Amino acid sequence: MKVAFLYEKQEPEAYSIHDALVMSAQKLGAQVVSIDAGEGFPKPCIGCFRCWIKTPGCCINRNDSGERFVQSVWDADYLIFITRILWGGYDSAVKSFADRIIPLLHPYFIRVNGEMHHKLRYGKMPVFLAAGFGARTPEEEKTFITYTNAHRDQEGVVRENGTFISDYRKKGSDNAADCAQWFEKEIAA
Amino acid sequence: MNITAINGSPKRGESNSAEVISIIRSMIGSGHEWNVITPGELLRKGAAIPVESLTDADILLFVFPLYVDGIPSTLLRCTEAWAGALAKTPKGSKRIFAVVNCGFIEGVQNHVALDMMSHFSRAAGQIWCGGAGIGSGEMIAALRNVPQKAGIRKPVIAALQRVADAIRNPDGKVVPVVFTQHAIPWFLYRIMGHFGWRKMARKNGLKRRDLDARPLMQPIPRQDGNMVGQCTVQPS
Repeated sequence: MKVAFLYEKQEPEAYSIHDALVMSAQKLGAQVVSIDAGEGFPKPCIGCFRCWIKTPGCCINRNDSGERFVQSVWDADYLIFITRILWGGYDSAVKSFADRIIPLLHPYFIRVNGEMHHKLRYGKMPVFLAAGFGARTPEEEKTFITYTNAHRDQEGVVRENGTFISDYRKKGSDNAADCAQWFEKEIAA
Repeated sequence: MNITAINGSPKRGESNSAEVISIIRSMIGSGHEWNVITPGELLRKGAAIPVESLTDADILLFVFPLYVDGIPSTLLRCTEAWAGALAKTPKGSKRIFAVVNCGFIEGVQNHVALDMMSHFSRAAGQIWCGGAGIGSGEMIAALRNVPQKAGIRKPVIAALQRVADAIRNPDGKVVPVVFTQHAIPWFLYRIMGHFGWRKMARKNGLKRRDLDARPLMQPIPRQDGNMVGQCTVQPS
């Protein structure tokens, strides 16, 4: 089993959650790849679609952190987004990596759970799990759950508890421990 | 009124978001001061992201494409700084609208991105006035030369008209937000989409089957010396 983590090392909460999850993953015998979203900002996706119609499967931005991220995602069974919640979504550093994922998709459309989606280029995608913290309001937390569910269902993957949200009333170490417990349950699911 | 439109498309050149701004602008008519900023272009050029264009405006109109179910990262980066700057202006002094378009046919797929814009507005201390989620977004610019009264454009034009009317009206809102798409059946949109992708690929010298390429099936060395590419799925 291969597990990829995308997180921002400089965010103390992301750092402690990441550490706890890596320990859990290793305990479960997983191979782990960690990508620090704060290091080596990828070039942004500019919606040119060249990764579909000119060099299918390859982004125009070569040899940057975004391309390495795509390779790690393709190679993984699970991809865990650890992020500060911004407006109910990923923060901008994490989102800049998430936006680069489209070479793993095929331009053709398919219907998944009654909605139009893109076919998967490799016929598979890792299961996306998300751990968020720092939402400003309960509404942002609600949106984060909806958002990560939408992001996860590329191939109809539905995980009722695929998103963890830190409790702001708890200490960082307690949240990390809770998150590790959630993660182990999700991996076992 | 002083209106600032934010074209959040990271695309170079023409975009569907630019077309949406142009349609709404023509619907609102003259007598207003407009300022259009394109953060993607500014970031590409390494230029500073203007803050005054937002803090000095009465109306902020965000128009952007859906990127991986949310706000494009280039625009998202700017919103963090803008929220802070807007929060320093008088509370409720600006009305915020958003129009999000996506390449999928269902306009409702933009609902999360619009929720995000409502959270942004709240954090900025300004008034969320809703907007529209447009599906089949690729057709917005493609149908530019088709009359707005044409059946296929009607639902989208009606939604944009609601946004334009709400902007013009000092108390206007489009809440709850409206979701719509062009009047085209699912299967036809899909066929046309696939045809379009193949046509563009042909222009680039590719064959139809090249669209199915799986370049990562070739093992790639990782920085740590291990190989990426141990997938058991065989290329088609």
